[in-house]
Amino acid sequence: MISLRRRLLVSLWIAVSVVGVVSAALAYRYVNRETKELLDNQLQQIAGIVAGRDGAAPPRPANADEDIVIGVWDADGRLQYSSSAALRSPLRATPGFSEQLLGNKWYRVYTAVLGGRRIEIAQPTDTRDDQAEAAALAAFLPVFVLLPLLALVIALVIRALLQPVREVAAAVSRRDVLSGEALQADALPTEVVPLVEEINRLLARQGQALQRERHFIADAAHALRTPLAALQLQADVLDGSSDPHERGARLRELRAGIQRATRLTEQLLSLARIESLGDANAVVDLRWALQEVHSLYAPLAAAAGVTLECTTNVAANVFGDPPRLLLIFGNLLDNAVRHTCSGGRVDLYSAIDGDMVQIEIRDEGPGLEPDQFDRVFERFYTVPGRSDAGNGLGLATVETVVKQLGGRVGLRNRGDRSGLVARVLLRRAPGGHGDR
Amino acid sequence: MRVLIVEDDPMIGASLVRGLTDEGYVVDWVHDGAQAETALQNGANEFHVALLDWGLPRKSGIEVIRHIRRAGNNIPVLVITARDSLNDRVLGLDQGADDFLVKPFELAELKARIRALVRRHSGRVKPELKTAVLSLDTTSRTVTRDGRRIQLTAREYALLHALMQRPGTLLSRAQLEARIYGWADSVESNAIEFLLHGLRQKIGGEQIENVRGIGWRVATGP
Repeated sequence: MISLRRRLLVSLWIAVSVVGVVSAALAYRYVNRETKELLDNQLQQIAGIVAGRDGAAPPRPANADEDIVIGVWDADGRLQYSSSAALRSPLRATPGFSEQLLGNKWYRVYTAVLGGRRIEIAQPTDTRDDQAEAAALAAFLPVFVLLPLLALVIALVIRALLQPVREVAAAVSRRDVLSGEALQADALPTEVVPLVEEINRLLARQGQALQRERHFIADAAHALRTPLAALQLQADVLDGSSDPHERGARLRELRAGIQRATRLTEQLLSLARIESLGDANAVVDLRWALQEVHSLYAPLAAAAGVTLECTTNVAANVFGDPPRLLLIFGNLLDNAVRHTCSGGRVDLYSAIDGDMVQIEIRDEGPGLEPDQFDRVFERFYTVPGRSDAGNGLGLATVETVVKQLGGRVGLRNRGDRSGLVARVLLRRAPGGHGDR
Repeated sequence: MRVLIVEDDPMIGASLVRGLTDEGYVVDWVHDGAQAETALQNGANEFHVALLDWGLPRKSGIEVIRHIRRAGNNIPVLVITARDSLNDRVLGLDQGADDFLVKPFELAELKARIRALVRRHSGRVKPELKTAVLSLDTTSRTVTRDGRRIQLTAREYALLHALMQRPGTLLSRAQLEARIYGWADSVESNAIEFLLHGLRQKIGGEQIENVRGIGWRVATGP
């Protein structure tokens, strides 16, 4: 985990310190040099003034420092003037600036030869150094005083800028797990808004999923009550009879009730499993899937006296995965077989339809009333008046799964005879051989 | 006693019919709300109690109950429902339901509630129907004469029960047939007389009086 605040602080502090130190050093050097140049100019000016006072003892220039030493000699080398006992004979320096030892002190000397006269202006180098140092320090020190202040300001500004982010974090941590309320993004910096908006979108999706789960659990609990009530009554009724023949009949009813409750539980479980399967990006050979489901349901059909015919005339791949495809075709076949009377037949038919593959399951049952075509896809809706009514989950599950795979499912009554056709359109995947 | 069952689930319906028939009730079973309305309209006084499922095809239980109450039918209605929210129950009771039973339930409780409903409906407090001589206990389904217990068949019991609901009231043959036979039963023309003959032999001939051309009643005096 990286702390944005700490990183910002440390990097800004380092940058500011480096810039501060470098600029202070540069200022120090610059002011030092400038001061010395200024002092050199001063020496030159004094020389000019001294040269203007021909012969006479020049007055000390008002702005000259105490320890500046002035010496003037005529063309013959005779001393005309000296401000200090130490400077009796010329220093013999070449004209211009030079460093000379006078007595036991080093001096900065400006030597000028004007109209035969030799003028020497000398200043102790340590005085000059002191002055330059003082000036340089004056330029350098404020930076060092201001640096910590700047660091403090940076820390405060960063803290203030990151406050809204901390508030969002606090809001998230205070949230109730089940709350679907969106986070406030108004006061946030624009850089953070996308993140919060994404979080809000996620929360909204999660809220919807939670809502669906809640409805599902409520529906499931409700749907379980009917088979349980039937079981309770069937057991009570069995208990109330002592006639062996009658008891046999009632026991069969109880068994049928248990089978119904079991099937409902299985379908609820498979529905829950499908919801948690995740994306289906696999590719399945449709011919394999139809043969598989055919062999799974052939015994059931045979037991019901129904012929299950698999006219798989298409070799194609579809997007999906085996559990989902088997669930789709299994549920539809189960419906078809249960609604077809003994002696009838159920056909499994498939064909290519553009970039889709079409699978039809045709039964010879009673078909549906016009107002039932949409309702049968609702969860827990059962067609009234059917003694072999399902639990109202099969088609709802099929529709959920087909939609997950990007396909469509529809029902229509047969035109040639009574019966229902369930048609599934699935997305065709590359591979397979096309028709036949 | 005659019961109308309105239930769309085939298994629950079948078991209710069996369980209540075992008990000696005459049971008729319809599968949706529209049929229930028709049955209650045509046989307004035939049924002693109706068991009504809430979630019915074509017409919901609540619509049925609203409709029959508006029509002035005051038959006791016991609602059988998988929905047990307070709202559902309050709404149902306010619309005219007399009692609620939430699925799943036990047959024994259902029978007890049916007896209680019928008892309350007929203004009695105790589960006994009495004349000066006869006593019919609807809970134990026993008939006693002067403290001596009498064995009756289910049909004989149903016939006596119908007559003793309001002692002294005359009931015609059609009324008696309606009370003790379901629609599915085929009734011989002299079936009632045949039953009455058997019943009289067991409880004493003077206990059931015949008003020629009108019907029968139980004797109220000693």
